[in-house]
Amino acid sequence: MEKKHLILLADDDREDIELLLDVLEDIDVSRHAVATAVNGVDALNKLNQYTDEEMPCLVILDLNMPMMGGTETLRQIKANERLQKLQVVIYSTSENPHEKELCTKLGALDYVTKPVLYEQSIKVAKFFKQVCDNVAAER
Amino acid sequence: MLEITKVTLENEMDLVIAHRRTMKLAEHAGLSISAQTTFATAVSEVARTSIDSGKNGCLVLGISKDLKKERYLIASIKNERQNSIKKSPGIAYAKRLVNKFNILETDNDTTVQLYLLLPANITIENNKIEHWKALFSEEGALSPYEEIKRKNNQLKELAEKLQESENQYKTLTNTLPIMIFKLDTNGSLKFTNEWMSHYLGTHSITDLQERWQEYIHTEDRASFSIISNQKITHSTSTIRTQCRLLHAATGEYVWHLISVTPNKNVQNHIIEWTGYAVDIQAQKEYEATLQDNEELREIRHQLEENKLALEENITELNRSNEELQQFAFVASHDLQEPVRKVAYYADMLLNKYGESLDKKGKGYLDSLFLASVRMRNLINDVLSYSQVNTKTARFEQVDLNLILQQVLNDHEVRIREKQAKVQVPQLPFIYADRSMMSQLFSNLIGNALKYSKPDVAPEIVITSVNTNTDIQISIQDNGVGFDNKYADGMFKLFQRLHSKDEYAGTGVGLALCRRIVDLHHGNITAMGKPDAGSTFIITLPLSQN
Repeated sequence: MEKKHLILLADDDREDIELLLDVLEDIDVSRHAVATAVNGVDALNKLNQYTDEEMPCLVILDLNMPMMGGTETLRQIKANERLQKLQVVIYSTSENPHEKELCTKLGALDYVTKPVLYEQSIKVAKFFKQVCDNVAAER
Repeated sequence: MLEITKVTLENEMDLVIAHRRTMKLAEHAGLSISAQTTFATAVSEVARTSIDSGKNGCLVLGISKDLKKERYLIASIKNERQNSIKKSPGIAYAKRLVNKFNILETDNDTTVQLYLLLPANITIENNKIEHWKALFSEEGALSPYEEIKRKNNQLKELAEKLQESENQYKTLTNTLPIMIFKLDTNGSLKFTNEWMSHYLGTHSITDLQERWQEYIHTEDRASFSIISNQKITHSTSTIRTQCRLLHAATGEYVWHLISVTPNKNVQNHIIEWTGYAVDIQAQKEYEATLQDNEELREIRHQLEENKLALEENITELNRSNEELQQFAFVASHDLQEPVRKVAYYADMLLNKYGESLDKKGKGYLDSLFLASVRMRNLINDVLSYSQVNTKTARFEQVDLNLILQQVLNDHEVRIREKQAKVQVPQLPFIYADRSMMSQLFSNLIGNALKYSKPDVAPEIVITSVNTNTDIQISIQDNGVGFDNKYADGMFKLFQRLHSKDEYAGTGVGLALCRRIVDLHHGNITAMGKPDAGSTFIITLPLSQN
């Protein structure tokens, strides 16, 4: 399981990636279990290189990223026969209800607003871990 | 008979003339003295008898037409008979002196014809007859009497011609559809033609003279007065003016051109004025229409220009509005990220490393955290505000009951905490933007909960009234209320009635409500009283046409 990543996190904001990795560590998820991508194109490349065995349990997508944003990445994942079963959660600062609605329609598991409070971030991290556990159990 | 000369027979003097003319003609014809005298005597006798027995007698001297056969000198004497002349002695005497003698009596006239045969050796050509005619007509007066008589005749002829001309003039002036009149040098009316009397409905010149103002439009009396007495006496040339005259048949005023021209005598003194008035209504109407058209064109041109200017302004305003909106969106959107992080780091510091800070340090961090949270709220509100516009609006049929239920669910925690009671009516479907409706009700219900009295459980009563086109929803609470004078101002952006220590807030909520309602072509008003609650009334159209 060394090579396998639980989570693929796509976010162009290095700080946000570090913050989430920190919080995940706080709930005992190793930062090595998280693969990261800096935009949608990067994320899709990485996913396409994975074997079925290596596929992560959860893909977390930021919305606003250069080259390809979260919405388009989500659309392409859901349009790809190999990837469409992946669980995708949108992770964004925006609280725009239209975006939430659109992402749900495109097949996102959930739409999580980036936390303002430390306590919230713990909850978010726990939610991510829970999703991973559920997927792993199903496999 | 070829007529050569003529003599009227009225008195003794005429007999002399008749005698002389007869002698003269006989002489021209080449007769002997005795023959001349005989014929002249016969003519004189008949002429005398004619004067005695009738009136308006006349002698015509001439020559018979038949030029080839026998030729006669002829004297024809005619009168309007009073007594028969047949038996008078003069007639019998004269009869014996000539070759042929006829008396013709009709009902009124008697004509006597005397014929004197010309000797066969005398030939008379046509040109000779013309020559004699000329001789008689050019012949000067034979006596002062004849001179007077001639003059009299000329005068009579002139008088007849004058009369005829006068008659023609009258007929003309009376049949023309123009008013014609004459004024004396004092401006007094002396004559009006039939058209004028008929048009103005009066036949009396005195009436027109005295009450002229009644026939002229009030506004035109001043311009008409330029042909009144004084002006006339001071002017020496044609005067023209325009005024409206009352048409008796229709009772309407009709535009006329009035012109008066002086008539001068040989000494160049004005003796009277001749005037006419012509109907120029059609011309006036044409001019007025032209004028109206011109004005209309100008107005239209002005309107067009104003419209263009307005459109430019609107375009400019829209552009600047759009830029502002874009700016507000970009600014608030991009600020979200760093502000969230500031708040997050502050909170994380407090949570993870709070223990290692002293009380003061922890206090500073608290303040940092709270300030960043307020900033975040403000940014979020501005972002929401900037996103309420026609571009983002998505209109659809929306069930207001579902919206309201969802909003109440969102506020569930606070409702429970404050033990609030909310009364909800049955609401219709309306054509609106779902998320904006949600935001609208969320802000209003949120306010009703927020501005409640500290020790009184909030009671929120929502009622609605439908018409065919609109719905009016009122949201009434029993909260702290407000002074009505702020009712309008509090819908403006960043306007707050309370300090942030009393009630947290950014001053965007109600401005956002108004923006949403405006965008839906509705209306929002508020009524309140300090410590006696507030009522917000929203009117929204059921459909967006």
